[in-house]
Amino acid sequence: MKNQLKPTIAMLFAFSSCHVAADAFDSCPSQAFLMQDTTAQLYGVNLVTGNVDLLSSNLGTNNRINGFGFSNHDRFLYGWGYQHNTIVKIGNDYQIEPLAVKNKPGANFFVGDVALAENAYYLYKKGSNYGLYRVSLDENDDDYLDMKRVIDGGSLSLLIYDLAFHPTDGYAYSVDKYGDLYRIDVSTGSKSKVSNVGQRGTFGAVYFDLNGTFYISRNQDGNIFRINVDGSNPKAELFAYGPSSGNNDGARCAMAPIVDESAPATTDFGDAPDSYLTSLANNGARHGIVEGIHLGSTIDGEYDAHVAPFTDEQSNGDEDGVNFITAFEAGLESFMQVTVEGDGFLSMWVDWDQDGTFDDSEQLIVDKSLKTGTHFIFEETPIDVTSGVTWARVRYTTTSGVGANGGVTDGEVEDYQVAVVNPGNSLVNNTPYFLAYEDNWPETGDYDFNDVVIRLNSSMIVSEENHVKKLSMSGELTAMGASYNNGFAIQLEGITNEDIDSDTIRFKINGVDAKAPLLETGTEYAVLKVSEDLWKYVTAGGCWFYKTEEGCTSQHEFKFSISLQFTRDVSVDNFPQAPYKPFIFATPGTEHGDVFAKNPGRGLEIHLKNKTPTALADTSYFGLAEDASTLSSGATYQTENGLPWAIAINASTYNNWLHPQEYVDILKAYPKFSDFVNSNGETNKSWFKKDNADLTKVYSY
Amino acid sequence: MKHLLLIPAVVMLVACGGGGSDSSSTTSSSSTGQSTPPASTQPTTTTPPPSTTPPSTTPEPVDVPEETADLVSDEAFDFVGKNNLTLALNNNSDGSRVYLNVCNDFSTVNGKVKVDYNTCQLRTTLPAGSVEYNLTIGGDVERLVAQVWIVEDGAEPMNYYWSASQDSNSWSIVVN
Repeated sequence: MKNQLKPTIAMLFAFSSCHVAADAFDSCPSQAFLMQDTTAQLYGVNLVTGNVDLLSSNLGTNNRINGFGFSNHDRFLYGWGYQHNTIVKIGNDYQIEPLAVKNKPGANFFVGDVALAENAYYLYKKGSNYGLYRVSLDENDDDYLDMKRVIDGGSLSLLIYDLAFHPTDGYAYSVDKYGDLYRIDVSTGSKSKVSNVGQRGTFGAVYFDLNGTFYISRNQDGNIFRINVDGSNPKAELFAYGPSSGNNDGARCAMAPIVDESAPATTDFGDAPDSYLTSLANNGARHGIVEGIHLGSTIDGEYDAHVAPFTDEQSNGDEDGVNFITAFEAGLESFMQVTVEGDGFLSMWVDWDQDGTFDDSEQLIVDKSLKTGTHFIFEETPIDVTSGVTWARVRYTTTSGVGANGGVTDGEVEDYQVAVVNPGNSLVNNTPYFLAYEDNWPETGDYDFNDVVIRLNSSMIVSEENHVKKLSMSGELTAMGASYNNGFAIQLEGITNEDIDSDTIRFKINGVDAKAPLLETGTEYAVLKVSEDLWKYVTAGGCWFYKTEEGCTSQHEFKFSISLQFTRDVSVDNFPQAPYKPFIFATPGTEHGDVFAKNPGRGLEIHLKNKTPTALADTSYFGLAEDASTLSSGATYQTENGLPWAIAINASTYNNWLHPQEYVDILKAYPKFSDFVNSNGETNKSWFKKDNADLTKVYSY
Repeated sequence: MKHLLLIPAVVMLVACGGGGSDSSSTTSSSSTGQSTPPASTQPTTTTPPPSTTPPSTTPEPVDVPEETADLVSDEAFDFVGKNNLTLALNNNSDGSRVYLNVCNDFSTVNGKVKVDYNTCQLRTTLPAGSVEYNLTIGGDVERLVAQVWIVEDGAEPMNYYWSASQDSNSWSIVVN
């Protein structure tokens, strides 16, 4: 409000004919600008995390700058400079250039923004002597830099501290101190209340992004909320924990997304499924990467979360802060080792009821204060938890009171799959099997064993009485060098459909509940039909096949997860062993080779050697072409030389097996396969390891 | 897929069912106390003999299979690579809660064993007395650690090791 007009060097430059004008900003920046303090300090704000960088502590003024906005027309910032009592222009040197504005009303302004639909700056001040003003920034206009009142501040009366223009609808928006969201038509000065957003305070800095999401920053606590102004009855959602300030004003290029993928990623995300609020779109848990505060020893930056099951991390990635020494046993203390760097607060949530969310009541650790080092932590598991594998989220940051989602300026989030069991139960994990098929049966193929490759993980919860309480499986299609369409299923020998509790079956494909029923009918023992056509889920991505040709990757994946409980006590000794009886079958209605007069469909099953087919297999196909099966003796799915159409590799690591490239014989890719076969699996048991591969002949991830 | 001719070449001598057991020389090591990690578990590499000029009279040439179609397998061998391991535990501790993790993904850092517990083959609270677990482990597993924790503040784990190349497929551990 004061018009002190103390000349400064910057001002002298600005008004002198020899002033070298600053350049415009190079681009429409993704970060928001935040002006703070009584001597203006300019910060850049990462809206994703609330992280703030000081851009300039000396803008060439000794007083405030307020009401500022970014012009998408010339890529300069414009604000109201209190020192010169006029509009100031700021370029990429972060120095003010006071502008000679006509018809100033004799007051300072702290609410303003530059419009997108027109090259004009709008300023607002409450009170009937003032109001909403339009100032043209177009040098070609007759009213260039002429301050023209649109409406008086008695007629447009708002208790607001900033406003921002929507990127597409032409309206300005603001939230007043009572939390009322207003839409303002600046051409007429009319306002309409959209909703009450449910948060009160001084929202001194407000911004839009390219998608029309509105961000409001509250001075008192620095919390940044986001609002979908186009929704019905929009509410403020806590988005990030930013810096607090007594004096705040924000500006942003509304045409920019909030993540700048041209710069190195500076945000850490979790990787639990998105139902746990993980991705940026879902306001997921995320932390600005700041030196000296994190979990464990590593932290990685991402532009957005790699959400399970599509994580690109085969094992743990940067999840190295927490060692769950014990599984969570209902009603007992669990025991974990937590390693942190820097002083901060630790919080942990566990999805005890396995409903895919972290509820407030599922917070196991609340703001536990830790210092650098490794700590043993005991926490009691609630008694009423659901047993099985579930997700846990761990957050460590200097900010206390953070929830299970939302952005925070520092620290790290780590998401873990953890085991929850009833007291006395054991968790038995099978090391992963890689199931590799040749799909030409009953004809022999090229022995590249990559027509279908599936990684199958499985685990069991076993009671003290040695009964299998739960079977969990998860798997992934890691290659498909098949031109035929194949389905994939697993039979559990000795377990009938009636033995499986149908109410508690969980079956997901790519993280979403599968629509097709899991259990087939008409078989003696239960068959879990995972997919009727694997090509429905993946594409070759411009190649002939899926992940079998060098350099051929695909954005599409096929991952599944299954968990089963049982209606009777099944002793672990009578329970089928991994890898169970996995098989591929011909997708009904699709062609599967010349040997078949008509499409063979579900009746064509291709199993591991010496597995008996299910009751749905068409046994008339046995003995055709090169198949030398003797069904009566159980010698099945083999040639007269005993060669199989499917192999099962049991590996110790979760890294994918490097299957042979397309048309490459497995023996060329893995020379030790020969001894393994010749010795009936007695020697060279690790023939499939990367160290034993000819790396020019295998597919590398 | 191409069709390949089957060329029988190598005669199989050994018939063996199922997945087979651990193959290496198997001195039974019934660990009854804490043991140190096995020294390097690197397989001993055999250096091929230096190539010499072929003798004028060569013995009958041995066919080296060049393609899978050249291989011959016993009818009963199922091409499922796995090892079975029986773990017998005797928990004689004084009633404290004892927790066991059996894992293959571990390393020794500054004298301490660092385990990725998410990949353990067995995780359980140990009942008092004797108990036996049957595990199947990957064909490439070289060693396992059985880490036993007394669940109390300041606890240090007791580590027991199993080596594929040195130990049999029955492993017994006594916790005192």
